[in-house]
Amino acid sequence: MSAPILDISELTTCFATRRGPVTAVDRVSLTVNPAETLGLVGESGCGKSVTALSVLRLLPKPAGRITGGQILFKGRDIVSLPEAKMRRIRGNDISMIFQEPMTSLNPVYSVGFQIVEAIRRHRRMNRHAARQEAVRMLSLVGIPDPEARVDDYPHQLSGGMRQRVMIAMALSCHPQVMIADEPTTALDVTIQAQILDLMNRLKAEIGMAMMLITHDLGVVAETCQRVAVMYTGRIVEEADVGELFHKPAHPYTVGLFYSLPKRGGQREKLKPIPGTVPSLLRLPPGCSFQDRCFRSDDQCRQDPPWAKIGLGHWARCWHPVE
Amino acid sequence: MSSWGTFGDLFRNWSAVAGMAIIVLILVVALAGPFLEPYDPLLPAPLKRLQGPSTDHPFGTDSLGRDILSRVISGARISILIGLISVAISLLPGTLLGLLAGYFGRWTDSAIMRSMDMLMAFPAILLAIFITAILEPNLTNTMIAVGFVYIPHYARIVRSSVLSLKQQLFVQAVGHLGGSHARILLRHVLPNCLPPIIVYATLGMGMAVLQAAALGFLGLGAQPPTPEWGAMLSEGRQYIQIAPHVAAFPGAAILLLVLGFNLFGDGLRDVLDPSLRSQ
Amino acid sequence: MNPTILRAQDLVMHYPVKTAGSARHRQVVKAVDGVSLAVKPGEVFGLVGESGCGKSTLGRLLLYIEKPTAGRVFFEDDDLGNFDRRLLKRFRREAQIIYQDPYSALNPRQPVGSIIEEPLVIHAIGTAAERRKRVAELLQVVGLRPDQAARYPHEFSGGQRQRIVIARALALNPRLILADEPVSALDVSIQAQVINLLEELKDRFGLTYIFISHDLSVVEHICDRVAVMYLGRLVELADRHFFYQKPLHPYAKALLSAAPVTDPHAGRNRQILGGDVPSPINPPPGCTFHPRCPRRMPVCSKERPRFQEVEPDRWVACYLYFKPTAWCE
Repeated sequence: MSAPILDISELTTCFATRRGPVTAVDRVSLTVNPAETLGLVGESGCGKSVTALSVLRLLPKPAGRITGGQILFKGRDIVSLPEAKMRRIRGNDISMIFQEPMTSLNPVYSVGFQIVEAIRRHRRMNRHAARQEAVRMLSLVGIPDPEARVDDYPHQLSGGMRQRVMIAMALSCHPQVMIADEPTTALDVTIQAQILDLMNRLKAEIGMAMMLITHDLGVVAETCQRVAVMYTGRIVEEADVGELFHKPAHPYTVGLFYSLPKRGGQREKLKPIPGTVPSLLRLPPGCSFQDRCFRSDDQCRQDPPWAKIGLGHWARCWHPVE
Repeated sequence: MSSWGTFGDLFRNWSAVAGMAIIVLILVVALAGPFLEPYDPLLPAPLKRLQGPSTDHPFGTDSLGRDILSRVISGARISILIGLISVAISLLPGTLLGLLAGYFGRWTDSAIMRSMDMLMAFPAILLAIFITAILEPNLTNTMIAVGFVYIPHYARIVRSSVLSLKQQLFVQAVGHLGGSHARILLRHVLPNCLPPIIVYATLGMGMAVLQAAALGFLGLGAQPPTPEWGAMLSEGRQYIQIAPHVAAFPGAAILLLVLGFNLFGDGLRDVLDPSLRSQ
Repeated sequence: MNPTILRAQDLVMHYPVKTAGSARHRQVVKAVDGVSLAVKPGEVFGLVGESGCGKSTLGRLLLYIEKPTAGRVFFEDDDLGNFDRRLLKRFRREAQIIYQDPYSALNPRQPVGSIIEEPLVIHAIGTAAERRKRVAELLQVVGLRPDQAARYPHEFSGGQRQRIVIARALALNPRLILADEPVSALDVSIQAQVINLLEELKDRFGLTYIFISHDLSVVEHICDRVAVMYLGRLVELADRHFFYQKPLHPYAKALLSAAPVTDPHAGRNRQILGGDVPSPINPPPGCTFHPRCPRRMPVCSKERPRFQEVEPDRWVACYLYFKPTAWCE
């Protein structure tokens, strides 16, 4: 097994807010291997987007800061890299696509222009060659009639097309890692299927590693090889995708699965997780899930250890589900 | 953006605090005016014409020998009144027109906004001159003129708020519950329009004072011997070479008051609705 | 009991598109293009489709929030088109709405108790004291505490706000509730809480729901019958079991196969639908789905298939299941 291309260990990111410092990412450790998709799953506010932004050092300044841990990209720590060097990596070696394709694309420039801009930033190419490359990328992501579409403006394209353009832009410099933050959440389900299919194909064709951030467990099942579950800024469970779906161990993960209406099932009443996510300013000591957990006891007031559940399957819990 | 629990924020905003300090200072001066004035602001004393600042007359005397400090103090009351009344005259009809135009749309919107456009096409000062020329030039008419001129601005602001509020589900919901248009407008749309109105009104007071001063400067505003700061500036213009203090002090007073309103308005806007921070 | 509580007949909603140019070239958005359906009392009627299919518009027409360009809506046996303002206001007591976005559905400057009370005030029901009591009741029914009535919406989480929206919808004791994507904006664990609540309320108060959603799993869980919309038209309507086991219309099949399944080992034998959803301004002729349909036949681009009952209580608009009328001529 080759070395991971992205190795995050004990990453901690804090935000300064009016009501005090908030730890949005708390000692998170993740690895992404080449040609593999890691799913980062959690509900809103769990810190998954902040983790992605931390990797690319795109945190809003001055409020957000990485306060601990290291991020090794191909063995090199990029947390302390000077901004100039980081810019060479961003969009080039590690690229990112976001949830809302309309707000990520500049409405006053054609899509071709934006892709060319991305290409010329990182690769030495004259404008003509870059444009040819842009057309090639559009075709790669399955946009019909790319020679014509390359001069279209974002508003002339549908949501699915725009997201494909985003993917084309992200791929234009042949990155080794792509971070996709909820790439299909804003899309219709048939278009989502197209985009996920595309991403799977591309990954197979060009051997790219991907970190896919989502709240949708169905998407995870379709695209990821490994999954990490996040809650209040911490990873609570990590496993291969098959393991996680058939033998979830952390009570939060179990609760998530019970909250989902099952397809093709009898109409059982859903068993939602009681209560709501605690505010990051008022987390209980130890395990942050204990107040909602059906298995918690006094021991949970201490930081739970990583329990080994199976091969490559870990859960941060005192009482993981068997 | 929610309820009014933002007073704490207001006091933490330096611009708002500085502005408030200035306004409060001038307000106090205005209210305590008659007790603070060392001399009668209207009484001429021909023997003391154009005296420079001294211990007797800290701001000096003007061309008729009147104490400028007393006149400036007295003028504070007038200027604040101008600010308040002019803004009221703009705000009330402007808000109403904006509400109707934004809410009912189509013909109502077109009719109202085109008339507002026409009104706005006139340079404010020209319009004010026009109005005061038709009615006789005095302080009351100045306030009416300045007020009238700014009606379209409020109409526009309110209309734009209303248009975006119409998209909000809670506004539509009242209709779905069976509520009448009046209920929707008065209890749901209007209260949510208030932040930009308040901000603009505060900044508008500064603008009104400036406009009144300009009119006064042109001789169309308050008539002598009323100690309105703009009129005082006008008087002082002739003596700028030999006795600059006659114009300088009223000018500084105008500057200070407008600055106070602007600082407070900016701070208020930052606190209430940062999205307005455009220009 | 009346066999249908709400019935729509050939509903059409066309919006003019504001473009410059002469009237001859003025374009029209065919948001709803001829829909007929009937909702049975006590059922949960699901309406699914992707963005732009017109489901939200149809929902608004069904409750007569907007007047249709053509077609009629009957509440029990009354034609809503004949209702004057007073009768329509009375109708609002019978049919209420739960919205998608709990953040914009509540007035940020109104305390929650006042929000829930407002429908009672509008319809002049009860004295102030009686209304306060009812608000307290409603808060409890939706799982919140009566002492929270003085708080403002921003003090509540998304899921709690949605509960407040539900409480407000229940205030007038409606018989019918239009739920327009009521859980789409909520996190998974909160979605489950609200879905359970909606089911409880339906059983407790004998409600009928028209449930609009794009999420097929949620619809499968809560709905009794499912109707699928595409570009302003209904393409299939069936009982939930039959629909999910064996959808008939090719679009419905594609929709069901496209939805991600939470099982990594499920066969990735998916039917990926090519192309984009065409614009409702210039829908394709004949069957609006034919350009993307893997089973299209020549007649599909010529004549629009009627929405027809092909099995008992199973409706489809597709020539795979019946012959076009033109053939008979």
